[in-house]
Amino acid sequence: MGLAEKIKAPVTTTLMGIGCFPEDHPLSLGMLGMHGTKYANYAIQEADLILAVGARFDDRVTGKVASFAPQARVIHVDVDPAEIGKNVRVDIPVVGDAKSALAELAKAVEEKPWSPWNDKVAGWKNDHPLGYARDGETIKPQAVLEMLCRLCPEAVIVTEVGQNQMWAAQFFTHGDPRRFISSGGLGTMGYGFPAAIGAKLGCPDAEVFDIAGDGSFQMNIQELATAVINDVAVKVIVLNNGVLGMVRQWQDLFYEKRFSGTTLNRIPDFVKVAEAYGGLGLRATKPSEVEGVLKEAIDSDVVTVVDIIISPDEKVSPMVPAGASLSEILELEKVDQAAGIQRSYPGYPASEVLELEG
Amino acid sequence: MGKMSGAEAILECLKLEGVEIIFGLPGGVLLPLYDAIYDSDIRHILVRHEQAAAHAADGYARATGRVGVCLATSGPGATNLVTGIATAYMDSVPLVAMTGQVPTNLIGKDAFQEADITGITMPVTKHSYLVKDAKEIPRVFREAFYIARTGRPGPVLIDLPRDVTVNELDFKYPEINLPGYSPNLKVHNLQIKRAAAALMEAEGPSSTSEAGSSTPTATGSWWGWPRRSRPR
Repeated sequence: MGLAEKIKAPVTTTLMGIGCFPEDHPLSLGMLGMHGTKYANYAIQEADLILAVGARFDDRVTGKVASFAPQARVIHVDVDPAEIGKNVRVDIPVVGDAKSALAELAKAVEEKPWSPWNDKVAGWKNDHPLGYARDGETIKPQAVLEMLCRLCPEAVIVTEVGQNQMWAAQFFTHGDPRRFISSGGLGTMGYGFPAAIGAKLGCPDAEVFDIAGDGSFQMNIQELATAVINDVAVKVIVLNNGVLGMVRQWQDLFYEKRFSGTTLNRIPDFVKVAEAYGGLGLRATKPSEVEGVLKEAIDSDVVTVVDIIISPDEKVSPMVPAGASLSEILELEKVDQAAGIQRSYPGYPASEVLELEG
Repeated sequence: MGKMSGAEAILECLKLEGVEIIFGLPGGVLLPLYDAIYDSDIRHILVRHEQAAAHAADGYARATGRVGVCLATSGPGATNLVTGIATAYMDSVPLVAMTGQVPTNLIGKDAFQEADITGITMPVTKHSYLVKDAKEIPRVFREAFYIARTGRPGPVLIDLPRDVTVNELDFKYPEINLPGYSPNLKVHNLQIKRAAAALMEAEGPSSTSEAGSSTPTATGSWWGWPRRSRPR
């Protein structure tokens, strides 16, 4: 952070890096890549220099490699020399411990002023905020995540994989690197619940939430027994859309809505399952019920499953289609509610409702 | 420390490494080890499926920064760990995964619940061990924890044939002696100089139509491990 502030470098994080830079910092751009913020992707695509710290430039981050950051020279800091030049061309390798490398870099550079480039990035933040379209009828998963982070700002958030994971990544607001835990590389559905049990046992005083989908949760749902027997009071927030949402989103966008093999039929009844294992089961079906069940879950001292009914048509937006350039990022829903998070720049309060192009 | 069984030695190693909790599920070849766990201070969390043991150890490691430890029996128990080990490998999470194995004299005979787990996990572990002699236990565990947490962290697998956990050994915890493994943590000055110069030169977008001037974009990744960031 010292280095970024000294040279006024905007900072974007990969999925795995979430929490390593304060999300409410004026230089923060949130996550980049396939489901990153538009402004992070635009900044990367127009930057003339990228300082990558421990990032691996995987396909979800770079999009089409040939058109990734076309104007940028790349400095790559990594302790593993095998990472240098693996996916993108690196101009200046810095091999070693990242913490000391950043400290030494911060000493070696001189203070830079806020620049027209910073203004330009701030303009993107203002014009293309992360957000969602409000809808009084159905529960918006993004709003659930925002509310959870607001109600429990110190929580450890563990995620499953898929839409739930991306919404959690987009709307996670804490500035602590060990409080966002997710299977980023392998993308293992079923990871979140047992990992949350492990995290809670390691940090018994922390409130630990598993942000789940109904598909992922069922992949290791039997661990409710482990959690209940050992009094590991993990809270599972099931964003229940009744489908394998991320795959269905691709079918919706790229396969003419031919929903092959992605319908889960909203079975089982997660409240009954939680109760059958000796835990607490809660459910919200309307937006007005969300705050109540989340508060009840936070107050609960037993294993709790919160079944939150959302629409199967909910999408993770924005999105860079697979194989496309980061510049080709699509807005999949009209943003009328900008993320309440911090991604505001001085003079650009992100919490205000913004009128935007569709 | 005198004579002890392989199983007792394993638990002594875990204690010396500061392990307080392990996640596992027993099976036939692990009976001697689970018998020793019965008397141990180390907390054992019984999962309902071995995949969850690996993920729970992974979640513990990510939340605390310590090495996570999981345990599964031979054959299907071990193969059920694979997804969790691969998950940890992809995200550079320090993990020590212990697996039971059929007795050394039955390895390669298609014995009941036999699987070549060191072979299966070779592409998804930072390192793996098949312990063939109880005397090797202290050295293997010392190295496994060291390798898992240093440099770029990652999962290390230790395959433990049943007889190795039963046979006796003279316990002595050795010093690390791995001449072929030395993670490079110290950054070269010249690299810092070049990087700093580039950071000072950066002019913003190079497309001249924009009023671009100065500053790059930094891509931060991974959480801050105590002495390093996202190493392997």
